[in-house]
Amino acid sequence: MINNEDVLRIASLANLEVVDIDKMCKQFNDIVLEMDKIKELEIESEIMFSPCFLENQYGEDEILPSINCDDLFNNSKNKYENYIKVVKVVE
Amino acid sequence: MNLVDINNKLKSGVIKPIDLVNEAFSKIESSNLNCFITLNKEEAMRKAKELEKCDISGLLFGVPIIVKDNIVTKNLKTTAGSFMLNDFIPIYDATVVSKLLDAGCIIIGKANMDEFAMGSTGETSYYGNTLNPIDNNLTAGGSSSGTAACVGSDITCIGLGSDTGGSIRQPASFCGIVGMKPTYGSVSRYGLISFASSFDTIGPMTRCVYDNAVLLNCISGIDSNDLTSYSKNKDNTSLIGEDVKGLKIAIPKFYVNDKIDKDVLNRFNVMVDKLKTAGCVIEYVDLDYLEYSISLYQILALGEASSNLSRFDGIKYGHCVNGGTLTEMLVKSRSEGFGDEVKRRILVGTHILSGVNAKIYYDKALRIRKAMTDSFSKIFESYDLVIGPTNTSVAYPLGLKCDDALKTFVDDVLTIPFNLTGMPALSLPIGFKGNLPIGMQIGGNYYNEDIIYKLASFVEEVK
Repeated sequence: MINNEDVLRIASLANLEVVDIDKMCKQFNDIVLEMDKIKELEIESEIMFSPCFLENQYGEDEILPSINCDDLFNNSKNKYENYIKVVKVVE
Repeated sequence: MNLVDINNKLKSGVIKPIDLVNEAFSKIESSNLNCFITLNKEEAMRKAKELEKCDISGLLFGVPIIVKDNIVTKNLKTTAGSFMLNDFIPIYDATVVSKLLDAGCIIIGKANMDEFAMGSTGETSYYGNTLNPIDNNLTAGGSSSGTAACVGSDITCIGLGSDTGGSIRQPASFCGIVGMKPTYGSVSRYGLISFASSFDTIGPMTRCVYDNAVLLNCISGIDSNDLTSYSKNKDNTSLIGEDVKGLKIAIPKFYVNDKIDKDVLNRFNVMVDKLKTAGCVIEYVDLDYLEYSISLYQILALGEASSNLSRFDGIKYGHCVNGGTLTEMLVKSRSEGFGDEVKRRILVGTHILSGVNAKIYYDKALRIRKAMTDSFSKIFESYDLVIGPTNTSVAYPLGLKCDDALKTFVDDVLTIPFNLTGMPALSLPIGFKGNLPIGMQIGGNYYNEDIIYKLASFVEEVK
């Protein structure tokens, strides 16, 4: 069973706030109960890494035009000259 | 009109691309379905005028199309149905979009959808509910709700959706149109905003089978920007209209269980009889692990989602809340930017991938996924196709499943297996319950979309 404390710890890992913890906890347990069904299975199969046939793709090592910086910065809220500005993390 | 009709009229000069665009926007203005998040009227008009100077090439030339809003379009807002990306303007086109534009398609707008494709009713969209074109009180299905409603109401005859657990096939079924989830890897995912990378597939949603195959021909193929892409260079229209006599078809017993709506099952059985009469060999089979589909999907897809959506931190793009420490900024930006369903799925995914749970759940689920895939492959050694109903029911009222975290997954119980195996599957209408369409699902082995279309064209004819 997942309790409210577990929900808060997981939310912290996911960088999220949870407003209604009791409701989230109940929904979480409903989903985990469904997921727990696989515990009853004994399985010997190998792990499936990809649902498709994967083949290496090789290309010429050529220089292509880079993404335009102005375009790139258009979607960032905090800019300073040619940089994306973030909150200071080192004092 | 279908693609052939449009093409004939363009060639004979009866209509021009601009007429098609004007007609589409006129229908949008009189529509109340909320199937668009962003309209692209100015650019669509410009492109239509530009095409008048060009030679009419293939069947997609000059045809208006709607594109799901989790497929990026250069200089056209792409939100994935989320407040997180409310003002996101992509700086490149997805590969499928480039292919459409090269073929002469005209993108008229971006389709409403469940937020980050997480939902099966269209109700998790930040931009409001999409309404079902047949009955506005009902869900259009999801997550490709906008594309399904748009095509279902004949605003456009073709559109693009994406399918992670049934998000093309389920809304196609609810809106009475044709929706194909192609083989994983056959259509490039470059430019598709990821939900669960090993499940996500872009696919065509259309009013008829032939148009669906034509659109798939256009968007499929190998792409150096997507290393999971692969191509067999098949013409998906090549078997359409051919005799279905002798086709060997399996019906998994799980797909006709007592949880399926009685009327849906009856209609499906009527179609089975028609296929038998036409000379198809149909047998009921056991497919292993299908009863674990929802558990597997929750573990694997939500695990992948928690990882994929960690990129939305408000720094490079997306909703940003300033103030406090870096962690506070991340938490506030993400908590305001994401809706409840997305947050819940990220939390469950984070739980699954945390510590010992990765072994208990994730590792084991990957093994069962392989075993299920092997079971499907074995069936396809003896049969050409697998069929069953697309959904357990027809479209239901909006709001019915809003607060039930599990029921939104249960909707996809019959579609998820094909996402787990990566095999192709198509939904098409086979009849009605009252005035609501009933969908049938046709699945095939990897890259056998041409055989699926062969049967689908027959079903379309005799339904």
